[in-house]
Amino acid sequence: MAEAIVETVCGYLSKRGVDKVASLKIAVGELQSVDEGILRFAVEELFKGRGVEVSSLIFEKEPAVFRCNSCGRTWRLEDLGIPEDAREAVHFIPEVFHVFARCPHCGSQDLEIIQGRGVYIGSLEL
Amino acid sequence: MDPRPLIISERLKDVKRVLAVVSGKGGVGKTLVASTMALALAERRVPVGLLDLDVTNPSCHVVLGVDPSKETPPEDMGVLPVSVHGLKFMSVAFYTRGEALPLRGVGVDDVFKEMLAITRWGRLEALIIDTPPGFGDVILDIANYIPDAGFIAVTTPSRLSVESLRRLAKTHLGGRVVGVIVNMVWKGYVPEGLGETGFKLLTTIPYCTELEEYLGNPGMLLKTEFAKRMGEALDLLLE
Repeated sequence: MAEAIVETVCGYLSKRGVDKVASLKIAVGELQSVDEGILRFAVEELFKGRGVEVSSLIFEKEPAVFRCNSCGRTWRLEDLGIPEDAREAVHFIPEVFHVFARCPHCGSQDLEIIQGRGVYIGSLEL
Repeated sequence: MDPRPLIISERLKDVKRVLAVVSGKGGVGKTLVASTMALALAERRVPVGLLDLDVTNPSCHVVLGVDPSKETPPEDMGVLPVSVHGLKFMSVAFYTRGEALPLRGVGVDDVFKEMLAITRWGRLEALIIDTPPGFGDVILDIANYIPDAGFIAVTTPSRLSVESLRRLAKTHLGGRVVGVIVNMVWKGYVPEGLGETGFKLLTTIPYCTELEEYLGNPGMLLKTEFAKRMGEALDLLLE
């Protein structure tokens, strides 16, 4: 994931012929349960290795919110009762939560992730 | 900004050839073709991977005899595919414990990107991909994110299936088709409509009644007429 972030940012910078970033915000969705400390360390090290200077590197936690496409109700992650031993699978492929989660109201698995799925670049300022 | 697309080409940079097994209709034998083709390449000592991208309902693990609830792809700067019968295997089934994954299109697209982004294949001569029926998200994603991927189209002699091939030939994906395999042929009948598609015929496979018995037993599967015909298709593809 860190590699993907750094590759994407470096691709963006090289197209513009620059190697400095004023501010980089990385959103960390709750569903994927990424360890923010490890991700930050890896991203910082990879940027160093690529000679890219990032003045402000901000990680923002994004709570996971789901909507049931069957009954229309919205839920938070803790409402869905995903078993603890399934969390690692969800970490690798967040969509597999559909196997383990049901809408607490109607029992449907047709749940939509409104926010907080995984990691993405929220904003980048040069 | 989604960081995953850029890493997909990085993950596949040491893969010489990507072949996606596709069809317009379900039940024509894509999974068996993809799995047996990968096994046949592994038997020839060709470094090969098999990726099951039938994400909502994967079944290559059934053909290979892998119990996804007992195997986990090892984590190492991403994940490493599982070694099975000489090939490298990856499937969403490892994460769903073999259960169905009901997903809408956006979810399928996300699983595609995630699997391609996390899996470290290493050096491969060929990566065979099993796909869901039809020309939906997975096929479009392969076309967009794996620009060099070729498609192996599978059909039965049924007019319903051949008509799908004709439609495929007319789409922007038609140029990706490197050949056609006609499966479940009875009395030597090969449909006339095939010629209209302009696709190269790789092989025809008779209806093989013993296949069901050998699901989950790659060693025996490789001894079948089905596997022999797959060898013919590979000879044409690799020539």
